[in-house]
Amino acid sequence: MRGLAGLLGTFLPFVVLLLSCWGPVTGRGLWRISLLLNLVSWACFVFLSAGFYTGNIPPDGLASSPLILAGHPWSEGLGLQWDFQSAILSLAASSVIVCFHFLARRKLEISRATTAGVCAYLGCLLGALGAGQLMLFSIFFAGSLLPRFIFTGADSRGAGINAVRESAFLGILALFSLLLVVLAFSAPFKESLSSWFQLSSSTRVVLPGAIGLSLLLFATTIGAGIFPFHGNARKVFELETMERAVPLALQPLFGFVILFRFAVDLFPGEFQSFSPYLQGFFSLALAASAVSFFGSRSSRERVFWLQQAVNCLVAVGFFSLNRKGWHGASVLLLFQSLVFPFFLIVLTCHERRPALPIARIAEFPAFALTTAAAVLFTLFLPVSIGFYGVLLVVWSLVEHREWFLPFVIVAIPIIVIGGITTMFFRLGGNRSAENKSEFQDLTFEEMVAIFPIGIVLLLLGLVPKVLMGPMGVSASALLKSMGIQV
Amino acid sequence: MNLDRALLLLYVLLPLVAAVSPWPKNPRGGLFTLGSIVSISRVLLLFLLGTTVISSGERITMSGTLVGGYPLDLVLSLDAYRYGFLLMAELCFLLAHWMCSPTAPHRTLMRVLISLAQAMCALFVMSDNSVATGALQILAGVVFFYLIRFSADEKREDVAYSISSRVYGLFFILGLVMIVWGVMEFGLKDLLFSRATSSKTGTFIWLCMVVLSVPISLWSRWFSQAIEFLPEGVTLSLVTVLSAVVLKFSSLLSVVYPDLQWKQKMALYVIGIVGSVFSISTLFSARTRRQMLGSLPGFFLSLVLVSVGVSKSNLVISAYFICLFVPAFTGLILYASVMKLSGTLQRTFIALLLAIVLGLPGTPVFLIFSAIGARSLDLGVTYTLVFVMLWLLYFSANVYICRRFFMDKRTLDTGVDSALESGPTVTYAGYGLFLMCFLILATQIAWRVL
Repeated sequence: MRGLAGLLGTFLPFVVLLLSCWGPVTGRGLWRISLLLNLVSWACFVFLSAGFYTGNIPPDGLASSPLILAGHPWSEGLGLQWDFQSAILSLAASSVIVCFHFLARRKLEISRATTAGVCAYLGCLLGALGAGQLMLFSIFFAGSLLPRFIFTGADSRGAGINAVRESAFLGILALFSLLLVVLAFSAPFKESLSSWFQLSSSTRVVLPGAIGLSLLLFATTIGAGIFPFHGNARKVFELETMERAVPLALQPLFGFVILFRFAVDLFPGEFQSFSPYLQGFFSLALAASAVSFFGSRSSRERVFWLQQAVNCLVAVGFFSLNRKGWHGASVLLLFQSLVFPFFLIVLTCHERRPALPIARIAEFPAFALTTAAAVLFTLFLPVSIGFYGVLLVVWSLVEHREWFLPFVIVAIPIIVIGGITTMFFRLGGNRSAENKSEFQDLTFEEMVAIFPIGIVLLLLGLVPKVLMGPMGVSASALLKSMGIQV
Repeated sequence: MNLDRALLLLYVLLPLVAAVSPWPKNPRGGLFTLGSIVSISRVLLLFLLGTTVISSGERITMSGTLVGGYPLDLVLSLDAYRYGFLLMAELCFLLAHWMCSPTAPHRTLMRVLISLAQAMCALFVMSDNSVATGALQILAGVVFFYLIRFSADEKREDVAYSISSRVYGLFFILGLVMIVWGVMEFGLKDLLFSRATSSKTGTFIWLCMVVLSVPISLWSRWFSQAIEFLPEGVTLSLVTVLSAVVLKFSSLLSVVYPDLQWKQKMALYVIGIVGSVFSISTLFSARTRRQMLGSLPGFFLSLVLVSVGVSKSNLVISAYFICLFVPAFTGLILYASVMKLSGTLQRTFIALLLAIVLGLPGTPVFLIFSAIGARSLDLGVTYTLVFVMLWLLYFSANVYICRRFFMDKRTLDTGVDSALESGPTVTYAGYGLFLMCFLILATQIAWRVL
């Protein structure tokens, strides 16, 4: 039953795509149907996630979809399956898109392409999160590219078009490297197609695992838009409005799913060998991101570098290959899939308004509260679940006293101290100073877009054990299944 | 859950409930605002808890799990040592609520934030888990960042921005260092403060934390600026929480590093002496009453380092007295610096305040200096000479204050436009007198109980 809910939740957004293509349903009608279907999809993932709490599915267990997408040559069938982490991430992604419907109602009513693009993108993301095999993941990843380019490119001009074009090129490269890994290293192709990858004609020499791992990391870094391919993610922040960046804030989920789900499974030996170097690499990248964040001049740049920093922390935790690190990385992954859309929604609201002097901010309580909350949650202070994620990642490093620990420890205060003094008072600082129109508090639709995610983030920060308990069990189970001692 | 725990839980939750309560916070001010009612209730709750903590000498504990699978718990415990400080802190927060001007910008927000600071202060003092303590310190920094930022009027926005950033930065760094130190020292156990394995790194980090927590005037100009420019209620809340931080870090000596080496103590002693000399010397060049009296809290907080530096027993009693004394003393001088000495009540207030500052026998200052002096005598001639010189400097400063207050024809400007000046005399001077008498009584009881 729970698996069926997951399946329904994944494919419902695609119905919006079909309806958009059909024609008769347009404007407000299409928006309403899209909202309704996304709400049903969200409810499906609530039901699926609740299964892990009610004991219906064990915290370290899996909920499998009843629909087998392909049989032969897959021994166990090609289908969707959700562990606790992927179910919760799917729920988070679904919640963000539901809230996005309220934020961008006007845009979605006008542009059918945008509505279709956003819903198809969500469907592909949900499918990728539930994909049990790399092949299925690659299909959903490929499927996500086109809708993504449509909804970011629709009505774009100048820099926006260039951003879409460059992202498209890199996305295709990532897909190509993923397909290479699927064909050369993953079951069931590994045995049957290995002769395709002979390096020598005399004896059968298959591609070394290090190359496979490199290809996978290449796809991951492009897919997630993280260092050293962060330029790909930066394009998002060059769009005319931040509205469209909200769904794209979920993009790192694609990349990190590759790492968490498939990388260790496919290349266990190589992973053990390369992990310390990669951990050091991402620690340095974290320090660089923190410094860039500190030196940023606009809010958009700050959000971008902050997202990079959190991505690096996720990677550092992941490459630690121990329970605390994985647990922290999993928590941070969920944290960033909620907090950055939340921040971007608030930033969009800021960019829609003229500048407001600090002395007047208390006259607009909803605006002031959401602004302060956005900063507090984003900077992983103790009222947000990100605090516990960062704590666990740092804890996993402190125990081993690695050489890169100081970089991680120094990066955090740079972000948090620099962030609170700049992000609050200069939030949306890049908007036109000529706009002198009357300032208004948040509209009802903006509040509906902001408050659900804000309340969830606050509750998770105040009672972290609700989420972190099952997530820890899930992370331990995943590590154990890969043969890593917890 | 027994009654004591229920009372403790109520004590912890009351200011948080007041902060998020939708009921009107009485922005017009007055004696009975929501914040002041909560403070009075908390004082009453502490009196009720006193039968267990003081009379029976027991410890009340309470804990809650933050994250399952790790020792990330919020462990709170209340003993006689913490009880005394919290009682004094609550009385100071009550005064802080009263001191909030009904005409200040963002007054409702200020009252909410002072309530949050009150909650953080108590949680921080009672917390036994190193990570939770660090997290609470970070949160307190966030609260003060917004409190200071919003409390300033438009003319002083730049100063408020500078002070709030520094306070937040300091609290965040202290909190972060506390977390890292806690994980390093107690990560293999339960993260609770306990005797450390005396690693050099851990000891060094703790020493840094103690020194950083004390606002030494050489590198903490923000502290004197805060006393001079911020509204009285905000300053008093800040000094109360800062005293809690200093108390927490200095009291860890007895729990974590009871066998601290003499070289390390010497380092604290030297920094403390330098800090106190610099603080007290700014008093002579003060242009306003607020500047003059405002240098004394910094002086006393620097003396905490001196106290730890000369300590012999595990419990640094003089440091405890300082942390008990400084918040109340700050509240009193903030009022003394703006009053016009017009009525009998105000004159009595000033006379008693100067008697306390001078250090007459029985007063907290006397106990502080006598404890440090006795240990200095034990430690030899050099320590004794330094102590005598420090005391002489302090005494001269007191004579100078008395002269400027009562004898000079050219009286000092108050230096601030304060609403306290026109406030009810009975509330401030009367409560101030009560606070001074209570302070003397509390230190005398603490001297015998601890």
